Amino acid sequence: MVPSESDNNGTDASQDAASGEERKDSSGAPASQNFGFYNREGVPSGEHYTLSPEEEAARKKRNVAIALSLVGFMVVVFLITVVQLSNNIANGAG
Amino acid sequence: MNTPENASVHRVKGGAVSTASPRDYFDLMKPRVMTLVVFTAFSGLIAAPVDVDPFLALISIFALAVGAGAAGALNMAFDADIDATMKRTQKRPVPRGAVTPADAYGLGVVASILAVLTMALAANYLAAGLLAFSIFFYAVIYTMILKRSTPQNIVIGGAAGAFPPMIGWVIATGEISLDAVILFMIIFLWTPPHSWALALYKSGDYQAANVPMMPVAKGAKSTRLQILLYSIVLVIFAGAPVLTGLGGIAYAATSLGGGALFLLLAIRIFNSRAGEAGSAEDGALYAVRAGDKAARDLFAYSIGYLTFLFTALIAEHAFGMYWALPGLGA
Repeated sequence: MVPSESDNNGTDASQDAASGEERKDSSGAPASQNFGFYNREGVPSGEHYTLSPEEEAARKKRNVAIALSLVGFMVVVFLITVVQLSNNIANGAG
Repeated sequence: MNTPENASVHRVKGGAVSTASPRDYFDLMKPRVMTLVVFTAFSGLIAAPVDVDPFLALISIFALAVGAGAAGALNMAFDADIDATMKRTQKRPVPRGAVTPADAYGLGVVASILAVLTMALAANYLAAGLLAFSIFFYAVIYTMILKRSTPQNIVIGGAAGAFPPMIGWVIATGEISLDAVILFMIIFLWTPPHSWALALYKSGDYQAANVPMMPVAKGAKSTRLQILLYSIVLVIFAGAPVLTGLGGIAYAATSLGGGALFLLLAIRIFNSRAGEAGSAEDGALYAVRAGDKAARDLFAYSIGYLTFLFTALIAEHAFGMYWALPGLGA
């Protein structure tokens, strides 16, 4: 089961294919507003996950760590380039 | 078919995403091993007879550390089944369930690529190539092939851990010289007595995990003899830097004194019954049965011995403490 916004035909899973009206889940809420899981036909599977506070906190920490790593890598590459260029200029390389 | 009309709603709190912290991913990279890698690589870099841009050297060593960590993550991903069985490794992130093997593989592959690229940019292609090969050697040749198939696993696989000082040397010089090979060989010869001393007093762990470490495959007595033989070769070979001029008086004294103690501990193991006690082991790394104290002591001291040797090289080449032995050296 994969949470998805659209089925294999590219149509919005939250819309009824025949009428074009927005689907509602069994609680009456619009399907676009729930975070349930959809089966392969784009139909809600009936399972709805909400993140626990621990999960949300852990995900946020991981996101921050990934962001810092990527920014760090970019800075490192930039600084390497600057230093290599400076060294080459100082050594008279063309 | 399940339709919106008949779908029953099951609201589930939690369980959809991982609760792994960045610290869990950092632990995948074996930080203690990374420390030793950085230290030995730094000594190779410092001992090389070439001045290198300090910033580029720092970044290169950092890339090497990340590469070593990536290899560690790949190792933990593949060895999750073994780690779950062994008390010493049960609390690693993958067997603990904090990180999935797929995520560990992902971290290992991405970090490997970034580390090798950074090394190529900051140092040179030879250093980057050696780093890539050492990661491949550790993750594929050692972890996936040798570890589960032969008691010579750590003898051959030890080459992976011996690369850092050579890579440090290549970062500075751009070439592999005799001195770089000597530094490689010191760690290569150091690995068997170091690893087998641990395996002697943790042999039950390895047996339970079906890993053919020497004490499990050939027995404790054979292992104790091989520890002694490798120790003799190591201590003799550790004097080689003095002959080429890489090491001066300080290194010679360290090698002589440190080597003598190493040999004494190896002889003590040979004369002991280490690895033959029958009781179960404790989980902690240094926890040991009474009969295995000699093995534990050599394992602990071997780390110190390697540290002494490379510290002596750093002291001589970075702090002006190099005095060549009369008739030898630079």
